[in-house]
Amino acid sequence: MTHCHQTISLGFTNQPFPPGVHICQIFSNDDERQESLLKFILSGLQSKERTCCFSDNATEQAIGEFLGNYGISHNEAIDSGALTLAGTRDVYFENNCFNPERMIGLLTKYYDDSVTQGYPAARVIGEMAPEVQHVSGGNRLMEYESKVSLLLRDHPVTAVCQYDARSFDGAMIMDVLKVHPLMIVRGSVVHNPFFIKPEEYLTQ
Amino acid sequence: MLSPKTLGQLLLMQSYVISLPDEKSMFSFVCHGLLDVPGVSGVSYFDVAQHLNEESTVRFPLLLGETYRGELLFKIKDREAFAPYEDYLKNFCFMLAVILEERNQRHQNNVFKADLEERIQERTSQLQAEIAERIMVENSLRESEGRFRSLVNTIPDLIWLKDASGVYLSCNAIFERFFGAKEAAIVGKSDYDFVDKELADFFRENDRKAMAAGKPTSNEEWITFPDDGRRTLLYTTKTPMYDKDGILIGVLGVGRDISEIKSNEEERIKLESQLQQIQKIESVGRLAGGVAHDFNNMLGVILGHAHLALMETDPVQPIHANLEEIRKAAERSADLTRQLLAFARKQTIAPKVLDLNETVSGMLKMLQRLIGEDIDLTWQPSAGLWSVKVDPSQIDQILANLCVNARDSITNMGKITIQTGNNVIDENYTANNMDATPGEYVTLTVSDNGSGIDKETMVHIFEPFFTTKGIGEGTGLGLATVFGAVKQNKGFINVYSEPGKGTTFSIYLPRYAGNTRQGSTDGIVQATPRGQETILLVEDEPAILNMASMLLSKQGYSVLQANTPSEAIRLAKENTTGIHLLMTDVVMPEMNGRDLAKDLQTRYPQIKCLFMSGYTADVIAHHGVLDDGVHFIQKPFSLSNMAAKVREVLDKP
Repeated sequence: MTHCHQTISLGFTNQPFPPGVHICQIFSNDDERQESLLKFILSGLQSKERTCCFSDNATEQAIGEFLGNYGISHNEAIDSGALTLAGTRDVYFENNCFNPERMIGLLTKYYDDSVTQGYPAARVIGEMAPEVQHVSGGNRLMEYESKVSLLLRDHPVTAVCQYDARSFDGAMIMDVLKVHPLMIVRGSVVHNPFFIKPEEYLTQ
Repeated sequence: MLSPKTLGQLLLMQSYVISLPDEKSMFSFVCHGLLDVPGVSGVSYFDVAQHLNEESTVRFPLLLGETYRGELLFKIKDREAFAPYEDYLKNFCFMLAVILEERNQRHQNNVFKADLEERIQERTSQLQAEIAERIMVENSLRESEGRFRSLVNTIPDLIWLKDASGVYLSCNAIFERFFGAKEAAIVGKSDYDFVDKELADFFRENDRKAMAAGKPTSNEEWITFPDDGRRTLLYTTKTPMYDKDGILIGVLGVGRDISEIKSNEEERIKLESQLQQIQKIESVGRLAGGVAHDFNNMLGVILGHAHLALMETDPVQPIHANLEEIRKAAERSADLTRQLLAFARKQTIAPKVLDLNETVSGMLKMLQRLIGEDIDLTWQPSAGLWSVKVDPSQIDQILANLCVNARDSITNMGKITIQTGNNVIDENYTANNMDATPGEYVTLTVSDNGSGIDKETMVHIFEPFFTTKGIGEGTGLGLATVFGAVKQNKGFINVYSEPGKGTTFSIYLPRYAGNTRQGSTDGIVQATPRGQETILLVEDEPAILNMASMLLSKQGYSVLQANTPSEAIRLAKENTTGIHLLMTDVVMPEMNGRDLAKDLQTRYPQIKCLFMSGYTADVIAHHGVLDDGVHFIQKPFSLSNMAAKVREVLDKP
């Protein structure tokens, strides 16, 4: 995997980005969520990138139908390991607990395996479930997100974090903004003025 | 010095705050984000104005025009650092006020929209229910109309509806057939478009009568169906129709075909008339028969004594001629009573199997003499004629009477035709002729080209004593006699006449079912034959007993007189020389003649028997028809008739 001058497509925007960007999407309707998710997966598979999706709201059938429209068999992609589909709660809340270290470990391993398996790049899109505010370790969510920004510097997995504005309090949304260097505003990916560098944020 | 980052944050918050779901989340987001504004140590939101005592607190009302949407309170820790952002924050708060107003407006719109949608849904449901109900009502109406239409078209009457001006509004299938047009072509038109003016005027006048009367009016009218030309008598009822406000809107017409009913009614009246006529003739017949019986007895006495007186007087004496006139008058009277009895079917007959052709042929000379030379008598016997069983004397009666009437109907020259024939009568015929019964008949027809009989006269022709002839020219018993004789033989008569053209009487006599022709037993009556045998004469009427006894004695017989059956039995026992003939009345107080005969014949098997009576009753005959082997002489009888009959019986083996 080379990652010097390479750029990738996120699918939901024409802007090229280098691999390993950490983007948050605050959405307030289901179409907005679904459009970004499907286009992100499609562009990843079309670029032969290893692609992973953690969501409780995107069904395998919907993803399969969408990909099928572009001549991609989601079953084949899953079988080959190019596509991984999993539920948010299954991945994030093992034993009803949110463990940032475990998640960082998983992300690290995912990237390393992708490299080993020869993928040109790897990407992940995941929607955080609102239960995170109530499960054990859930108060470390922003810490986790900030550490992801750190991790991606060495393990450039392109990561998009989806948050439903209808399920999280405004103050928490503001916190989410502070730990993502890029954000999607009205379909465009912009640099986030609220972003606090992980070294600074984790010190706070 | 302004921080681009802070300005970017303010700008970004404006973009994001819109997508937050509620005001609580929105101000939570804003207050948290505004903490990054330089010099700010705290931000709070209040929906009502706050009283500020601290100088470090700055109020930023959220105002849109005059509309107050709460305020943001900033705690300032560094007024100098904060100062450059105050105007931006005012703008930011204005933006928040706009967003709040928009949200509020959107909320109100949503509420209004939801309310509107709910009302639309509710109204839609109501409309759907109304539409469903309307459809149901329409279907029900359609079904009801279909049933009504089917009913109206099934009724075999003409049904129509016209408006007050006579224009057709509706009609049924039978009516369509009458006018030879479909309803669509009839509606909107009037009678004048379909029938001639005279008939249309008639229809219209009846419409007006119904509307003027304000109630149903009826009339009968003949119509002709154009498709098959069938004429039908309609009983039409026209009923004025009113709307719900009582305003006249037209006339409903119903026309019923009463042709058959009318025909049946006329037939019923005809049959009733026939029945009444038959009953009338029957009752007159019973009366005549009863009178004739007593009259016969008296005539018998007159005739007997006249004969005796004639025998005892010299023909040259003037009184002989007087006695002869008495005898003739008595015999004519006896003829009349015989005719009455014939009409009353009380005459005693001895039917024989006859070939009518032979019988009639034997009468032709006599008939020709009867009708005279000016009238041509034509005889047309039918070949293969069936046999009948009738007393030949009744054929004489029938033909003589019919020919005399035919003769009298012809003024000068004319023609009388006698025909025979075979005929089979079926139920179609008998349905209209109640005195006829189905079966095979031999017809004896007498036709003339005389004056004919009009309808009024035709009704009475068989009544006894009804005559169209002048006083003294006819007895009125001729056709009554024919009627009685035919009925006694279970036949019937058909008369056809056209005034001025002639009359045909057809006598229907039942075909004789047996094959064996009987030989004629008619003996030639010998002129006053005599004898010497002993005769036991039994008669409860003394005058007849004496008269008959004298007549018999004159002829050489020994006569034993008895005026009761018991006297007769006693005399029989006392008489040792033997009795050859019992000559007895039939109806007597103690014992009838038949029982007396049985009694004596049981004691004296060789004794022969001759019954005498004014009528037969049923003692020795069934309905006037004598049983085989029974001898009978009708009272009153002449000397020669009696002598011949006595001799005939005595000579029988």
